[in-house]
This record gives sequence, C-alpha cells and structure tokens, in this order.
Amino acid sequence: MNKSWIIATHEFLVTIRRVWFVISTFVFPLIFLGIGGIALLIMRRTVEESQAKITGLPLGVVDHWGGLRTPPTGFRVLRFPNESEAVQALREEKIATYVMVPLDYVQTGQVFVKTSIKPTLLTSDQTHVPPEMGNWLVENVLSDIDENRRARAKNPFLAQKVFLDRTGAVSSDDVESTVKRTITGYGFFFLLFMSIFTASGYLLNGMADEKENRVMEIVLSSVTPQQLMLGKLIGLGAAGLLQLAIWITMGVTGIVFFAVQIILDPWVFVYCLVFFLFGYSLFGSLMLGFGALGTNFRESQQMASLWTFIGISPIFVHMALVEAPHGTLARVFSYIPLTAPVTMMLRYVTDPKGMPWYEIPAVLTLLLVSTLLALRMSAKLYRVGLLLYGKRPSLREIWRWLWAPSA
Amino acid sequence: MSVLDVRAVVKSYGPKRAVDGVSVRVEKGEVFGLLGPNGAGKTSLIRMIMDITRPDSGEILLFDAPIRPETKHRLGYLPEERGLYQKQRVFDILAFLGRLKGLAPHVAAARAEKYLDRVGLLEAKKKRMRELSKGMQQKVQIAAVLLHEPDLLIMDEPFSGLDPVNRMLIIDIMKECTARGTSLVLSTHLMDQVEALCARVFLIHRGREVLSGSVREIKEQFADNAIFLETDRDLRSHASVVNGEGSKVWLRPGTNPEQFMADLISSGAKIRRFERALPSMDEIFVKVVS
Repeated sequence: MNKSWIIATHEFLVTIRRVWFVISTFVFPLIFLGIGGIALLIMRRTVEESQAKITGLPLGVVDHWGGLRTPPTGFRVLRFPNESEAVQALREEKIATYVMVPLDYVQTGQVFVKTSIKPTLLTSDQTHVPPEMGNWLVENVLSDIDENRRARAKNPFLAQKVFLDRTGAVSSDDVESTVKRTITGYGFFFLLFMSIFTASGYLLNGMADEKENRVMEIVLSSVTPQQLMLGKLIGLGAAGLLQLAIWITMGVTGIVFFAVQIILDPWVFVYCLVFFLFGYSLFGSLMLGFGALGTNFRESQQMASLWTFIGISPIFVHMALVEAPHGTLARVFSYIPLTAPVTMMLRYVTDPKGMPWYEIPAVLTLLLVSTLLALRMSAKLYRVGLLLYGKRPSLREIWRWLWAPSA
Repeated sequence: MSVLDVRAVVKSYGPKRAVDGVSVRVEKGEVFGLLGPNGAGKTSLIRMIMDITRPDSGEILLFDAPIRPETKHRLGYLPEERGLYQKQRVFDILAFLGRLKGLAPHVAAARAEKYLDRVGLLEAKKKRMRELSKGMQQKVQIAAVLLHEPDLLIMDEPFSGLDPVNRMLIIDIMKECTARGTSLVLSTHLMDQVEALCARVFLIHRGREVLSGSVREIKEQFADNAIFLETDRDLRSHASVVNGEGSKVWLRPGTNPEQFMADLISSGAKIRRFERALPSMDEIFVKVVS
C-alpha cells in the first residue's frame, strides 16, 4: 500500500502540473460554454429572423368565404381579391405569406397558407401565420354570439396548475423549479461524464506513455503490477476529483448556482462523489487492463474502445433521459454498470422524489460488484499486457489470460 | 552466502518453453556473465529473478531466502528494453524511483544528486528526459538503478548506445559497485567486456544451460592445442604440427605444448614468442550456439 501511495502521489502531482490538465480544467469548460452559447445564439437568431419575416410584413389574405370583416387593431393585413394578385405581392416582397380562406371554410375549417419562407430544421414547426389570424377567424365565425363567449372560444381555459406527489398531497414542485432541476440534472450529468472520461483518459494516456517509453520494466523491478495499477487509479482519480471540484466551484454553466437555489439536498453532492468514484474505478480499471494490451496510445485506445463506446452511449440519448428520468430507457441505462453512474446522477438530480427507494442501493450494489470484477479482470490483463511489446494479442489470447489463475 | 540461487527454474509462454530447468548461483561481490543469443531465455530468466514474472516450477532464492516484497529494495535492474518518462524532469524521475526502492524522500533526493554527479549529468537535473541525447538518457537510467545502492545489480546490455568514453565510465562505476560488495549480473553481447569483467559466465541457449564456469576454465575447455609461436625455424614440416597460420600453430592432439617448446629450444631454435592460444569468448559463443 505504501508503494501504491508513492505512485499515487507522484501520478497526482505530475498530472496536475501538466499544461493540458490546466487547460482542460480551466479553458475547456469556457470553450465548451462558448461554443454552446454561440450555437444557442445562432439558433435563436435563425428563429428570430424567420419570425421577423412572418411578423415584419403584413399577412396577405384572400377571402373567398367572404366572412372576414375588419381585422383586429395592430394586426397588419393586406387583402387581395384573388390569388394571382396575392402571388404578385409575394413576388414583389410586399408580403411573405398569404392565407386563402375558401368558400366552404365554415364547413371544412380548412384554409390554405402559401408562403415564400423556406422551412429549415429549426423553423419547420412554424405555422408562418401570426396567432392573431386564428382569433380574427373566431371573431368572424361567431360574430352573432356575445363577446364573453367569443372570448372563451378564443381562449377556452386558463389553467391553474397544482402538482401532486405520489401520495396525492400538494407537491412543492412548480414548472420553474422543475426546469431548473432539469437543467441542474443536465449539468451534473455532463460534469460527471466529463470528469470520468477525462480522468480515465489520463490513465490510458499515462500507461501508453510508459509502454511506449519502455519504463515499465524499471518500475516493475520495484513494485508489483497490482501496486502500480492501484497507485495509478488512486493518483489519477484524485486528479479527476480535483478537476470535478474545480468545475463545480467554477459553477460551469451556472449549474451550481441553480443547485444552491433549488436543491438543498446535500445528497446530490454525496452521490456525485460516490458515482464519480464508482464510474471512474470501473471505467479506469478497464482502460488500464485493456489499454495495456496495446503497444502505443493509438492501439491502447482501440483496445479500450468497446468500453468507451458503451460508456458514452448515454450522450446519444440524453434528451430522452432528461425528458423521462424514470422511464424505461433511463432505467435500462441505470442497470448497465458503465452507463449507470451518469444516468443515476441525472435521474436523482432531475427528479429525486420520483425515484423508487430501492433503485439507488440496487445500482450501488451492482456497481460495487462490477467494479470489483473489472478490477480483478483488468489486473490480470494489466500484468500480462505491461510487458507486451510489438505484438498485439488475439482475442483468444486475451480470453485465456482472463481465465488464467493469478500468477 | 549466495546472493542469487536459481534452482531448476522452468517458465513457459503458451507452448514455448522459454526457460527450461535452469540453475544459476551468484556469490557476493562477483561479476557474473549471463550470455546467450537473442531469444535464448535471458530476459525471461532475469524477469523471474526480479519477480516481474513467476516461474512455473523451480525456486529462486535471493540472499538465501525466497523473494519477498522488501527484497526488491536490494535489487537494481537495468533492462534491455528501457526508457524513462520523457516528459518529466531528470531529478524528479530519479527521486521517484528512489522512493519506490524504499529510500526516504530526503535520501532519495540526495542520492539522485550524487549519482547524477557520478555519471556527469548533475547540470542536467532540471531538464526533461526528452531534452537529453540518447547516451545521456542511458546514463540517467544507469544512475536510476544505482541510487539505492543495491546488493545485486542486473544489467542487460548496459553498454548499448554508449561511446567508448562513457563505456569506460560505466565500467569504472561497475568496479566501484563490486568493490563495495555488490554482485553484478551482466548480460551483454560484447564478449571483450565479458572477458574483461566477468569471473564466471553462464551461457543459455533455447532456454537451457549450455555452458557455465569461470572464464579461464571455459577457455581451457575449448582450447584446441594451439600456440602462438615466433621462431627462426620453419615448422611447416615438423612432425608435431598440424597447421599454421601466421604465428598461430596447431599441434597434433596429444602433443604437450611445453614439451614441444622445450624440444625446440634444445634443438637450438631461437624463440621470440611462445603463448598458449586460447579461444576468445566470441569464438566459443559462436561455436556453442551455432
């Protein structure tokens, strides 16, 4: 243990002094935020530009039905007797869209919207017709009904939401806190994800570096492979924890600011630590064990790529996980050891009350068992792989080493 | 007290038997040559001695006891496939490796300076390894295996990559170590260094011992009754001479060289040089493994 501690201290100090550690800790989040912010701005701008086209020009109206009277105040309309004149106005860019209300509108409810605004991914769900158009139609269809009823027809109900918990009692949740909680869940999901992968990446990188530089045999003449592996896991895990702590302290994406406002539950931070430790130990030991089988960093990455692929899979479905934190998909990901830590973190932060009581102990037990298994399995491969130079082992060899008794 | 006692050790990798029933003994303060062609099993044997791998059968005793974790503090190992952390500073690497060998932090730091000074690299202590030349890196590696002042030092091809001046420096350091009582196992293909440094050698081929003993005994064993002789006589037709090449003369089997020289002198021949022509370790190595 003493030698593992010496290795851990050395690895920790060497890692945190590296320029890349400093850059990834302090600069990457800013770049990440910057890129995210710019992307959001561009998206918002695109939608706004599209909206401006709809609201910036008057709406053309061709009324074959004949029931549309004066439009409401502020609703800019250009009326045309026929479609050919409307099309001409469209060509001259006097309007961007026109609505043709057919003769049988009252019977069918159908109107035709013709527009020169091209649909895009971000604006595909836009109607291209201002909401006032609907109200104007209701006003005219129900012109012989009293004003209050027309108002109800335009706006049938004003919802006053009250959220109840599972027992039927009034819940303290409201829409705002749910949104904040979801954003916070997102934040912890990405933080945990980034820290587990960054710290495991250090492990893989360091080990490949030692193999490429032929340091292994000199180190192994002083320590056992198990001591070396444990020392590296502890040292680089500590570096990863430091990074996570710095990110949380920095308040990346304002997550912690939200968290302090709405989550007084200290268990969030406890679970963040616990899930980091499990996620990192599990993923890191697999990185070390399988990465040791490569002869350089590229090969080590390839060897560990299966686990990486499984590990990053929650990223592909994160929208679905956030939308339904206790849905089937989220629960399936919670019981796959490599995806469990980040998924559970997201689920707990997003909706702690909705999570069945047995899930956290069940998943923690699963993580404990699978981490111990991964450590045992990886220690075997690590021992063999460390001294493997210039030869890539076959799957059959890897299988044999996994089942060989510990030497 | 024997420093190293390898007893009938066997190690296989899959179907290949890398070391096949090898026994070796190294005494205190001895320089022992571990020889063999590439792939003979030397590295496999050394890794078992260093407890990096374990034998399938047989036993290895270090300092008259089975290998224990703390025994590693008394061993120094310079592997053939070697290198150090390229991005780290020379002093930090040595201090770290010293700590792994059980030295207290301040002792490791002091020793790192001492041995860097000994190999002439004290000024480079703050440099990163990648900033050093190959020969300088090699000397840092040698400093790394010396700084805990081991009782048994195993060096696999310690001279590779070194110029003659630095080779002499390393030989001097080796002599200092053995004078201090350190035993040295030297694995090299440079047979002139083996002859100059080793008292005893062990030659392994295809995992098995093919030759062992003192250098002198082995040379005697492989001597082919040849002498170096410079005289005023033409010996080509002499009854006891089989062949001649320059001053080297091969005598008929059974002919005693000393008696042959006595007969020549008594016949009035003038002798300018007479010497037993023992084979070089290079010749013996080639003869045994080919």
